[in-house]
Amino acid sequence: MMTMANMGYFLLSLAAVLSAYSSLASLWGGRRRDERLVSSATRAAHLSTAGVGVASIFLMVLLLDRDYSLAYIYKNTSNDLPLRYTIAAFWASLEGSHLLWTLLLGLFCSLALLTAPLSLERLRPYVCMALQMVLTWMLYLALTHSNPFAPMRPIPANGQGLNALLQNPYMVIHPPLLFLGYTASGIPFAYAIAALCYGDVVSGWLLTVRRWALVAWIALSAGIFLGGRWAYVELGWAGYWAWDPVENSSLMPWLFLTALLHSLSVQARVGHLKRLGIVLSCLAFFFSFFGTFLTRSGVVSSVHSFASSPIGPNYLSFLFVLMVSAGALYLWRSPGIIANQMDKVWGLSRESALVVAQFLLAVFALVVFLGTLYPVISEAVTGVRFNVQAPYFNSFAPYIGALIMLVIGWGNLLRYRRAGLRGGWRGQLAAWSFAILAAGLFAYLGGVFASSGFRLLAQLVGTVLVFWTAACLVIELVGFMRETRGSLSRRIGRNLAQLGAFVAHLGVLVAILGFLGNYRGLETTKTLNKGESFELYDYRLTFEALRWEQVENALLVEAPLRISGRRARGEGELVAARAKYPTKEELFHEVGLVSTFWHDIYGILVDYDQAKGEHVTVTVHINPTVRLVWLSVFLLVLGGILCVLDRYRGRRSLDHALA
Amino acid sequence: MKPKLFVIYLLWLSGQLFGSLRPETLSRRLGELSLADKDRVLDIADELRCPTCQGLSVLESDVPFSLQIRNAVIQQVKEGRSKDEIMQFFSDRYGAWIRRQPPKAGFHWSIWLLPWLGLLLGGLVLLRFFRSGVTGSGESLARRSEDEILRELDERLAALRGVKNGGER
Repeated sequence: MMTMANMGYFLLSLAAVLSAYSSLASLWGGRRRDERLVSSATRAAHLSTAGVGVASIFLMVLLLDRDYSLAYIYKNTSNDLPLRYTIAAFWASLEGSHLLWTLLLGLFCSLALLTAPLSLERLRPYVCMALQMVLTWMLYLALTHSNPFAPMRPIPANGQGLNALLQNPYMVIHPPLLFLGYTASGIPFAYAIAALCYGDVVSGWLLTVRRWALVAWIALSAGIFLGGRWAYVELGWAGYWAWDPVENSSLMPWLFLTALLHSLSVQARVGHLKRLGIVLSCLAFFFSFFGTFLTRSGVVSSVHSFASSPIGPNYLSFLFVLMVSAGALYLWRSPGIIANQMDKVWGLSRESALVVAQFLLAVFALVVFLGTLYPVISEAVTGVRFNVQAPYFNSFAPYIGALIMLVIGWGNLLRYRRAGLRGGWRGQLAAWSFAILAAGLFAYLGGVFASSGFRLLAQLVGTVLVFWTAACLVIELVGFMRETRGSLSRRIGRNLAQLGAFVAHLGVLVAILGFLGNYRGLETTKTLNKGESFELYDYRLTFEALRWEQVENALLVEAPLRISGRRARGEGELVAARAKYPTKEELFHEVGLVSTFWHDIYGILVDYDQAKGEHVTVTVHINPTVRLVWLSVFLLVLGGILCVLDRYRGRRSLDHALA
Repeated sequence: MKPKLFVIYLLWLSGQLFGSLRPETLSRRLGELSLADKDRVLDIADELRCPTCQGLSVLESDVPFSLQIRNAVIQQVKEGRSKDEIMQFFSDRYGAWIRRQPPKAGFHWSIWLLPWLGLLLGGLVLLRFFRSGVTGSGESLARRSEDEILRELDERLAALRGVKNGGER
């Protein structure tokens, strides 16, 4: 009898064959303009997606059944695991997450093929070809190196249990969002390849690529921030971003997607940078793929990585082939892709500022790339492996951040094709004075400033810049809205992209304001007997008694600290805890967290008296402005969604008018 | 188990035995130092890697081994040794992996200078790019006669046609 697992494996094999056929047939059909071959290839692509979809449903059903006859399920679940983490076990480890990646890419490919407008009819075969080629390789890997349906004999009675660090609500949502972002960035890549194969950026290309790039950007932004949130509440070191290799590898595609969006807006308005758009689309996907490789290869160690596996070199060699073939295709075909006006003068204008913004994003990506791969580079060159951790990145990030803010501020005030700032020098005067006042007020209210030295300077300059940039954005928005005509709802509805960009830029500023607060952090470690208390930042924290609590499958040892003192506003208690999971030996941190608007009180239970519960050792951090970082993700996502909803942006492009 | 990892494990174990009995708070030890020394300790401790954690410095983590290293740093700062000397001391003792960033020396300059170089050279290239094509005064900003635009369009179409025909054969 054929079991569900066997059928799942069979479906994956079938999908691999279908994808391979689809990529070859669509390439052939596209070149020969053979409609029947192309539609056959498209159908094969949809069928392949359906096959992967059903196989994924099978794996999910088996997971929910806790069928330990599968190695993957044995390794990642156990009888005590709550339902939501059993579902999340699907993407908790190598094989399942590889399947999810493949499934999402397949779904996006089908969706892209189904929604491609008629104007892109000639590009569709190549889009199908590019994506199905990637899918063929992913499915081949799923069958050989990363089979989620591999059996487990003899069948155990209980599983090893899910990694306790992953048993956190953010882990249910964070990886799928990242994968959504990674795979959605495959669509702009496919369209870039298609434009090269076809020989030109046809009308309608921009609108479609922009929409998909935005979808990828939104998912990736949300995924990255939720990953930070997970690290913050789960890892217990009071930070959310460690410049960890895997974090970096999700940041790089985000940077390139951001650059791509800016490049596309130049293309829409001026008809230039068509080839740059193609390059950036490819880079965004390459780096998404690179991140997927980095997480699975064990080349660089990371908190987020899976155990090293032989799948790593396979990813890398495919990425290499992909890059070389895309590069060759670009060199061969791109000279035929020409800008709309040949005698363009850039000068001091909005489009120039957008180019500078892309350049700065690329430099940032270069820093992140160098730092992430330096352990490997240094080992190859000097023979000694040198690590690169936070200090390196932190010595560049402030300067790049400041430059980016300057470009956001002035770039938004500049006009397309013309020199001159909106608001003129009066506007600048107003913006700078507002910034200094607001920064002063912020410092006074928030109490977020460090004591001395470089940190204080960075905070002061940074805060002023944030408020100045925000003021520039407001001047631009007000001026722009004044220029539009008609009823307010029409003016807003017609310019959603403008509003979306405003909101998203504001989100970036709020995030930077949040990062700046991190230059100051207060922390203290205390050992307390029952009833003892200590003071930190005008809070008085009193330890009363240890208590034990069963929460789902975990037994928590909790050390409640009652919050009182001059600053307390009825926050109640800070509960730092350790959790014991039935399938794991060691104890895991459950961070105590009390958030106020200006800062978080963050408590970690370092140690406790296991015999009698008489004393505990706790570390308490005061983390300023962290809440702003979480707020910023809402602004980024909202801004992105507003931009997606704009049905007009891109249609008014010169590209369209010329066609 | 790799020998290096094994050594780390032994060190960690000894740290567990001797260090965890009474975790010494950083703030109290720092209290004995002058303000300048305190900053130096924080600076150095932030550049030394916590051996048993992932991506953290000995400043950020509170595992016993980190506390040991932190105390050693405080001791050496008190003895008046310079930052370079202290970093070298730990490098010699534990190997290069204890550093959280490569030193500014030899080949390692590349990773420190490349971003700045990229920023500088890229900036110059961009400046040239923005200024290029300026013919005469700013008056020429995309002001052309209709005939000229039509002629350009024709050229463009011809160019495109050439590419497609060439591509299809």
